[in-house]
Formats: sequence, C-alpha cells, structure tokens
Amino acid sequence: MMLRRINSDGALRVLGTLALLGMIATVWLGLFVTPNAVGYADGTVRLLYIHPPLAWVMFVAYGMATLSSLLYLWPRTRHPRFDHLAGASAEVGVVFTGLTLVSGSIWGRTTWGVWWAWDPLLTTTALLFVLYLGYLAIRNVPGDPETVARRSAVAGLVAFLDVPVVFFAVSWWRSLHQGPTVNLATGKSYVHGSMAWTLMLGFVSFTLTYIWLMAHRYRLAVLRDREGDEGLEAALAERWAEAVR
Amino acid sequence: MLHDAVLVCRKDLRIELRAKIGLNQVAPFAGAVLLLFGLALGPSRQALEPAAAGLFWVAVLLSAVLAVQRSFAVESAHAARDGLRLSGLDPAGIFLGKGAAIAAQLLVLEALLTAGVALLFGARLAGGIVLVSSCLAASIGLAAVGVIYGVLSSAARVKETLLPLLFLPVAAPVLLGATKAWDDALAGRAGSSGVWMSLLAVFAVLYVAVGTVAFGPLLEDT
Amino acid sequence: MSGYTEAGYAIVLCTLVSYAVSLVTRERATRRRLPPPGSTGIDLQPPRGHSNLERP
Repeated sequence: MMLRRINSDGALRVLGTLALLGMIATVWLGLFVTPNAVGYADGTVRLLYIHPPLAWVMFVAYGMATLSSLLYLWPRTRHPRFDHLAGASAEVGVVFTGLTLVSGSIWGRTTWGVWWAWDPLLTTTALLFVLYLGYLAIRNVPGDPETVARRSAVAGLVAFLDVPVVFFAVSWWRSLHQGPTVNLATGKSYVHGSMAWTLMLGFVSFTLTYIWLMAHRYRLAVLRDREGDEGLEAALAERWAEAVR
Repeated sequence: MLHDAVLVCRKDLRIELRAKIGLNQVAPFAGAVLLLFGLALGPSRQALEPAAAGLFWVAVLLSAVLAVQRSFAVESAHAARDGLRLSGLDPAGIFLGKGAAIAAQLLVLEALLTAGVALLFGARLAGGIVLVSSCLAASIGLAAVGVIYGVLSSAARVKETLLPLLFLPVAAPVLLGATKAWDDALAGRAGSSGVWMSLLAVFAVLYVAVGTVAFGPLLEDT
Repeated sequence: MSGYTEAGYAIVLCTLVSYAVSLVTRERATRRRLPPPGSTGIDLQPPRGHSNLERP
C-alpha cells in the first residue's frame, strides 16, 4: 500500500527534501528571475506562481478528505486509517485554503484596488474555509473513536456536497445581477517561457509539500490514537490491580 | 418508514404544542431580529424595502438554528434519545419525521415573519405562488440539513456553539436562492425566479436524500 | 515593486514553515510519551480497541 511506503521515515525525508528544494526554487524563480510581465500592476504577476498552486492543493486536499470519508463509510473498506487520512488531509486543506484567500486577496488589492471582490470563486473559497473549519470542529468533539470517525465521515460528505451547490448559486448570483466578473484565471493566457516553467514548478513543489504535511499529520493522528489506547489500558490495569488486592 | 415518520412528526409537534417554546420564544426572537434590522438600516423606507427579502431570510436562518436546537434538546432530556433509538423505529423514518416537524414550525414562523416584513419594512407582497413555494422548498432544505447537523452536534457538550458554525455555512445557498426568488417576486418579476426555485429544490432533494441514507449510522451511538 | 507581492510570499512561506514545525514537534512530543513499540518506525497496524472494525 502506497501509504505504508510513504510513511517510512526515509521516504518521507526524501520527499521533504524535494519539497523544500522545490519551494526554494519556486520562490527564487518567482521573485527574482522571471520577468515583470506587462499588463500587470507592479510585480503582481509574481503572485501567479503561488496562488494557483495553493488553490490546486486545496482542491486535492478536500478531494482526498472526501475520498477517505467515503472509503471509511463503505463497510468493506472501513478502517481507522481512512479516518486519520480524512482528518489529516482536511486540516492541511484548511491551511492551504487560508493561504489561497490571503494570496487572492493581495492579488485583488494590487489588481482591482480592493481587498475583497464578490467573485464567485473567491466567495466559494471563503465559504469552503468556514465549512471545513466546522468539519475540523466536529472532529474534535470527544467520544468513542469509532463513533467520532463515523460522525466525521458523514460531516465531511455533507460539507463536500455543499461545494458545487454553493459554487453554482454564487455564479448565478453574480452573473444575473452584475456585469462579467473578473476572473482570476484570465492571467493564464499571458503565461509563457520562463513563467510557464516557474508555474509548473510551483504546482509540483506545492503538491509535494502537501503530501509531506499530510503524511506527518497522519502519523501524528496514528500516534495520538495509540496514546489514547495505551492510556486506557494502563488505567484498566490499575483498576485490576486494585480489585485483586 | 413513512408510518414511523408520521409518528415521530406528530410526537414532536404535540410536544411543541404543549410546551409552546416555538410560539413563546422563537417567534418573538425572530420578531426582535426584524426590529433590530430596522434599527440598523435606518428608518427610511427606501433602504428597508429593497433589503426586505434578504432580512426576512436571515431572520429565518437564525430562527431555524433555534428550532433545530430545541428539537434535539427535547430528545436529550430524560435520555429520550435512547428511547427513540431503542424504539425500533426506522432511522430514516425518524429523520423524515423530525425534519417534517421542524419544516412545519419553520413554515408557521415564515408566515408570521412575512406579516412582519410587510408591516415593518413596507414590502408589497406580490407573486404569491413564488413566495409560498420558495418558503416550502427552503424550509424542507433547512430542516433536512438542520436534522443532520442537529444529531451530529447533539453529542457534543459545546453543541450551542457548534451547531450554528456547522449549519449556517451549509445553508448559504438556501439564503441566496430564497432571497433572490423573493426579490424577483416582490419586484413583480415572478417569472424570472425559475433558476432560484430549482436551486432550492435541488438543495432540498439532495439533503433529504443524504439524511435518509446517513441517519441510521449517526443515530446508532452518537 | 509594491511590497504587496513580497508580503504575500512571506505570509505563505511563514505559515507553511510554522505549520510543518508544529507538526514535527507535536509528533516528537507524542512519541516521547509513548513507550517504544520495538521497531524504529511506527507500525501501521490498527490500534487495539478497533478489533470490532476488522472483517473476519
């Protein structure tokens, strides 16, 4: 199983090194090497190398969380592993959603002159952020591990199902009542040459970073789970000793 | 399943009729929200009338949180939840019954609030069919999401704060769709609200289906 | 340059680095509280107490 291989210390270390190198290269190329494209406000084009990769990782992370929730709910593949995976992926996803919002907001400030525009993508992302904060909150509700896992899996599915509904609702809302909205993706047609390579590198290194973070979060969840179990066993052993005495 | 749903729904509504929490607390709360909106947006009719639809639905959403909380407070008192779980009723039936009871209460509340909006904000009620059918679809959708999240959060000690955090973002499309449908209807453009009506219908069908399937495992041992 | 772009890069990088550091330190702390399971890596066997999840 892929998970087990990634989880070995050595592979994870290699992955982390690659992700770190990729990030350094992306930042170096993005901030200092690539040209300042015409048609953009001063230097803003450089945000293009991190904003789309951040948004991409966000979708991958939520997709992974949803897939794991489904696998957990499916009786044949029900295993605590998928619960930990869903939680780990969603938490990393929330971090990346926050960063997507911040970088998008800065983009908006330099390009449109406002920190926030009621753009469909932006609004959907903001709602997604709140939705998954709620999901993480419900994961923290204490209870029997199996119950918590099942509860979280359903909450994860309910949250994910809302995403397309929200997106279409917000798109109609904007398209029916205002002129064409500013599309964050319009910049893409200007991407070429060294810029295209930098953007590609950005996608790869942010994805590697996501996998590394998620693997570590997953290991933390497994360790915490074991800690809880062993604490329980120690308490039980104590009670037994008392009873026998 | 339907038989069980009717049983649970009648039980919840009977409790509600006897305790009158909805009438004595939730409805006045909704009225207070409307009054506060009026104070916040100033006394001029020009500001209030265009915003009437949005304010109406925000008031409905906030009251729906209270209605859902009340519906599960009834179950957690005297461990009635265990009784419900052990009653042998079909979980899907319990879901539909509780949802129907909440939807019925929301509809009554919406009728009262409609009168409030017309009275306080001077909204001219037009396009009656759109108003009524959007209320119906939105109430069903809100009730379905409310029951799912109600049972999810009822196990938590912090349910008073957890439920609004879970419920309100998911209900955002309902707020959007119902507000736009009402906007169109009140402005005499009832014909152009089709897309919003279908959004409300899709939302209601989606979450009723999810709840019917997922309620069994959730009820088992939360 | 306006400074906004650099601020954006700085926020993104700082957040990711501090999240990574917090994950690693939390993992270390938890591992220290646990007795060593015998091997160096952690085993991915389901923790005990979940036996009712296993299919026969």
